[in-house]
Amino acid sequence: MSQNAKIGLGRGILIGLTALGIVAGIIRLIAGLGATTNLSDAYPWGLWVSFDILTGVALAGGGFTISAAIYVFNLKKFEPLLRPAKLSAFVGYLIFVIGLFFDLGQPWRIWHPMIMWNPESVLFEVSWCVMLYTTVLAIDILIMALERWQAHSWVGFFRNIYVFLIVAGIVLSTLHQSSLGALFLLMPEKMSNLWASPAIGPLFFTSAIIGGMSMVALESILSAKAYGKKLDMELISSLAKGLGFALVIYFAMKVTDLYARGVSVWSLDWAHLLFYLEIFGTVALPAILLYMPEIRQSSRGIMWCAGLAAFGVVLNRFNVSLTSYGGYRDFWYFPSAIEIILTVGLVAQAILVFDFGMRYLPVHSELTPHGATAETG
Amino acid sequence: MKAILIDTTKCIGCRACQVACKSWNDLPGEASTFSETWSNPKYLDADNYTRIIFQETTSPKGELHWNFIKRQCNHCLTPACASACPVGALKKLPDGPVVYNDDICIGCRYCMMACPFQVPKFEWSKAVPLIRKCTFCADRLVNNQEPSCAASCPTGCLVFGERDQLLKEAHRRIGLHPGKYYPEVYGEKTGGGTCKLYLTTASFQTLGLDHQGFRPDLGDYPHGLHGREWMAKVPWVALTVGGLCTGLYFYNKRRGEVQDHDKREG
Amino acid sequence: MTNHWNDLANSDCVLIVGCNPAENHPISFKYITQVQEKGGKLIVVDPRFTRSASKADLFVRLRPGTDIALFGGLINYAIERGLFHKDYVANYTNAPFLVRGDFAFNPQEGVFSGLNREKHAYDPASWDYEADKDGKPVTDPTLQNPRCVFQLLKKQYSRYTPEMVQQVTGIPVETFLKMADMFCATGKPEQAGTLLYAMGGTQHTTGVQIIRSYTILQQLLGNMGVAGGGINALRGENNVQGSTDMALLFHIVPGYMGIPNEAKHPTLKDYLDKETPKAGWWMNKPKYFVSLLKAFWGEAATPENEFAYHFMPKIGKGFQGSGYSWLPLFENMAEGNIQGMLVWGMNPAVASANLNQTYVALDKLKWMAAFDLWETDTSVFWKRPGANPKDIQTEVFLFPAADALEKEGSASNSGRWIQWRHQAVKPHGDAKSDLWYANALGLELKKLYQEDPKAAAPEAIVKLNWNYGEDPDVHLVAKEINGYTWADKKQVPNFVALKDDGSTACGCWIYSGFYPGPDKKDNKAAARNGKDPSGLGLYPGWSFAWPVNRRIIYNRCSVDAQGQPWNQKRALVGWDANAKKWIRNDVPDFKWIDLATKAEFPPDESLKAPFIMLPEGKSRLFVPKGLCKEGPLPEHYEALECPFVNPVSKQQSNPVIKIWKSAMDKVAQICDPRYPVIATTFRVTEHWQAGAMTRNLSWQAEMMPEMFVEISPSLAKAKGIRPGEWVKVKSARGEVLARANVTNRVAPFCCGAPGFQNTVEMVALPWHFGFAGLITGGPDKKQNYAANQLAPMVGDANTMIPEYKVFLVAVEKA
Repeated sequence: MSQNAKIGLGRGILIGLTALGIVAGIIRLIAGLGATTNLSDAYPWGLWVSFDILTGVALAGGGFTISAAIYVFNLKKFEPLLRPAKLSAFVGYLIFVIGLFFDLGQPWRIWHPMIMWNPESVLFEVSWCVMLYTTVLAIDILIMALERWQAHSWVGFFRNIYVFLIVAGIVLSTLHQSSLGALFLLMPEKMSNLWASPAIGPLFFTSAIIGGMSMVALESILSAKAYGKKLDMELISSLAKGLGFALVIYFAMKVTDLYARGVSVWSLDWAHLLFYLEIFGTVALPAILLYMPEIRQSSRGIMWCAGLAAFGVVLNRFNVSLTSYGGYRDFWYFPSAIEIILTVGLVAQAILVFDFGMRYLPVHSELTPHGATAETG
Repeated sequence: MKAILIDTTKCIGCRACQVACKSWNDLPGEASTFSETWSNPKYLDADNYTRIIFQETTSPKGELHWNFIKRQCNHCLTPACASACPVGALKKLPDGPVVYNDDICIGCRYCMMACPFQVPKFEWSKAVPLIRKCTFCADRLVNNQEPSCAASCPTGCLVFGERDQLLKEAHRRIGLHPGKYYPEVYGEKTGGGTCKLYLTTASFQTLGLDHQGFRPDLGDYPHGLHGREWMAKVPWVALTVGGLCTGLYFYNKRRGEVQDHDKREG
Repeated sequence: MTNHWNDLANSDCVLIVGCNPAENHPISFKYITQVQEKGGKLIVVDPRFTRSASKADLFVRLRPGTDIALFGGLINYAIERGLFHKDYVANYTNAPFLVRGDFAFNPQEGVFSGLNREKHAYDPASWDYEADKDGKPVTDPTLQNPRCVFQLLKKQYSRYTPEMVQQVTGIPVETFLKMADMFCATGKPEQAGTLLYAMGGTQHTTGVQIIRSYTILQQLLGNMGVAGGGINALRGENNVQGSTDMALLFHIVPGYMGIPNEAKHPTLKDYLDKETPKAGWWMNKPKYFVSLLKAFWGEAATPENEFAYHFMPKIGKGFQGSGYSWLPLFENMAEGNIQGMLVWGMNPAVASANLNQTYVALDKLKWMAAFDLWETDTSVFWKRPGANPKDIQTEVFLFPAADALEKEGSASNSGRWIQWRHQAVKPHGDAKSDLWYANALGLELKKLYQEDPKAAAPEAIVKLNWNYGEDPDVHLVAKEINGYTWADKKQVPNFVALKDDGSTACGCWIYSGFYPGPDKKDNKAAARNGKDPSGLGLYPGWSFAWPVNRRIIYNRCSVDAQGQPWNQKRALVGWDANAKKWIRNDVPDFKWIDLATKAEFPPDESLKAPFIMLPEGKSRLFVPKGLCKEGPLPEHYEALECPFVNPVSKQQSNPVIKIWKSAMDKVAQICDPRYPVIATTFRVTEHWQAGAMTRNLSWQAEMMPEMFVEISPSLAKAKGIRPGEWVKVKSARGEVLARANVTNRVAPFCCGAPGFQNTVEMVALPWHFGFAGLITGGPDKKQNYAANQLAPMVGDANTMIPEYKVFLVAVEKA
């Protein structure tokens, strides 16, 4: 009972934050970007791009990562994680789409890239991939809903094209996760060379896998706590092992990239401090920690490591898109209240949607029998 | 391909071009405050497509120099903005101008991020903002008129003409007055080449303008092409990843079936 | 200008002094840039490093107001080193003329013979040529006679050594020598150097003599009358040349003829007898003057009534005997002696010197009518900061005026080109052209004088020949300016056809010939033939240059005694000895043809008088007869407000200037410790004069939005002034707030005789700002940002132009 009340209070706060976000969004739409954000000609992209778009997508990389693990690399043991991963991916992309809508100068033209093509543009590709992948994720969610509503013929139909959905999901994710990095290929001179790399696409892709895995780990642990379920420690440990492996690969890639480009990495300016925090604090450190069995096998240890790794992805996206951006040296950017409130509202909304899915969709087979009958009646 | 040669040694900082630009494009004057350097408005923005940077320097010998450098869209040969735009709102016209289509822009501002010269600006003051920048007076060019800035220039600092001929002229001037000019034409190769060609007394680095839209480190390779190259790889990546995934999926499925079968058999 | 804008391109060396053409005449740099492209040099002399200076091959930083010392030094250098153009000087100037034996100059006192210190005036009787029995000047072609002009000149300027130049002007000796070498190189016969000047040269208590020092150097170097040479005044407004040609000045009537004086010229005969020289082109003055009277009064002007000469207003004693120039007008307005004022496209509430006195003067007016595009600072002087509108009784009318594009007419540029302009658009709102207002005022005055039986002397108005229509036709005005025969109303071909018997009428003789036929197609001001056959930028078919479409005046001097051009590439005219004809790229400015026989005179005829306007026929290194009130040769005096004791002589400031004595005419002492900083005023490209035109245009306003003062880094450091902050600049007469523009473009001057050397800071203020309009110069609506609150109301002895360019101030944090 006390547990439920806590969740109830939590939901209340989330609903409140979401409502605030909606109000902020309305103000943004009426007053315009200039009036409500701290964006400027010197900083055309701010919090919304760095967090809602770049980070949202990277952390939602769990969907395709787990899917690939199961179906491509035949790691069937991760099957129980697939549906929660897809649900979390879906909410991640929701953040992206809604965030993008508010970030665009002409939001109602968000569909333009579908009709007006510029095949040379990386952002054009990202738009298409995100649109298509969100559709794939929506179908995945739809399948869960159909199962819940016991629409068997429809479920059967989707089972038949499932391979297409899996492959499409992986291909689209591979493309746009890396292309989000490739967006910055056009502006190397404006970025600190710690991040301005021709390899930024593969680096983004790899770190999206890290982001996805760590978020799946975090969500599993947190939702087990929240919904009072027993955690499959063995499974999560395996995932943590995978995460550690991915972190090592990523670290190696970063080092190779910096070495190949001959970047001087030792300095004490802001960019370098942020870089050290990113590369040592959020890549090397969790990788080392996860190497230790006692940490890898404790849910708290995994939570900390996954948390660090996820934060590392966030930091990386901010570093690439904001802190290392040196277009104008005599300007400063810090997000406005509206920018922050809208972002917080988006996150709150995402948690609510995730929570809703966890409770009402057959995300874990054990959950299905309960609410299902009660709700559909 | 049309271009404008900007021989900054001939600029007297009269700013007739600034006013002519506002006049032709019907841009409002802004309520400004005093500028220490006299450059005013102090930045390019949605209402200011061009401005003259006033740069006062003292040489090591103690000689005073006052440079006047015009800034505007450089109209790259391979514009990063056009390469970046997801909807193709920015286009390079065959005769030089990089033009913008109000009707299809979604306001993503990737062009602003991508431009190596930091030129495209956003109408931040509007609820429904668009991108604004120098148009090379494309609407005058089609009527066989030179851009309004070049038409207003009293000293011949701004010369409008065919790009290859202007380049020849620029090199002729460098050859004729070796001490007077920095021996490179900024824009000849910079960022893959631009339609605004600068002759200066010293490099933009020496002039201290490398961070005011005149980066000397852009190289000769247009950054916009990085996007094109990336996009060229996309279909192959898609096919490879898609093929591998599909193959492995069916391989795994088959193996699973065989294992199941073996289990039953065994 | 003796030459014209396009001609600047022909020069080998351009000397910019007392002007800032890059900023205030930007189009001139089209041609100056061409000079530099061809390897020619540009020298800029200025107290400030200006946008012109930024383009210079040599920048010379001169303490403001010390031009005579610098040019005295250059004259000395040219003579000492033999760099002057000897043939030219001997043949075309008055260098060989002997000067009267009683003429003297005292180098210690710094004054010429004949000074009356009580009256602040000279008796110039001794400043004249020595005449022979027939009254003709005695000359010494060898230039060796110690009393010849050349030797006097040499002696006068031998004191201006490079070291003395440095003591006075602050120009380091080496910079001076560099400049002297560069510009004196144009003393070679084939070389041409041009000199450009404007208000930086004229707005001094020694303004006229400063310009004289420029002309002496140009004569010595043989730069007058040649393409790419000359002495070129850059006029501050597009049509200010036209306004002086048309005599919008108190001392002349149209065509540069002196205004008749009540006492001296009671009758026409007196005027013509006394004012017509015995030699030179001005012998024709009676023809021009009578034709002007005929144009004014038409039928009412008859031989019997001396062509209505008695109607013509004559100058009297003027205000306190000072004439009707700006200073006496406002001094007397302040004393309540003037009731009304028409302000026509002018903004004295910003432009006048000693503004706080100007405001008091305006307050005393009963009425004011302002004609302008905008509400100007002047038209709202009654609600200026610090004034209580209730206390000011002046009734003010503001008439909306059409701007340049809304009306048809002519504008005469600095190069004397009368250029016709067509109307582009109809005037906005109720706006009318200036001509319309002037015509309506004339017609109304005629009516009022006719109807009023008690009117004083109504005939002068009633009988005016005033027939331009209700809605005036500008072509009728133009045709009258050109002149026509009275009987059959035929346009005259040029001023040669004008007569002194009343058979012709002409509004301005120097313009005669610009509209020689009855039709609009005859209007040569509207001619737009872009051909330049000589390749010298003369464009004879483009508009009309007065006089008689001559583009470069004094062009006899462009050839040697035998009529052969000094430089074949720049041949304006030339004598073809075989054909016995003159090659004429430009209209000859000398006696070249016998109009009766059409035979052409060989060059020795015109050698007698290459300067046809002057009675002696030769240009004047030495100005005789007191035509310049301070003396026949320029001598350096300091500005009235000055932080230095004159290092050249004991005479500190111009001995013949008038010092006004009203309570408002406060002046700082010499080396006044309360005001230790030199101030000068300037203009910027972005604003126009007193600012009414540009402070109301947002595109202009945004570029130069606020009042500022240029301060050297050393002064800023001494006063603890941070860049961009508001500072207070105070003079004896007022104070003004301005943003500190801390810049190396201004610097302190180290001047003074050895042992008395001192380093004095200089600040510079733009004078465009005020208190009315879209922008005033700062954010505080209760502030007046006009720089001229500081400037003194003291003028040149000849022209009365106020000394805006040098005064003393104190600078402190606001």
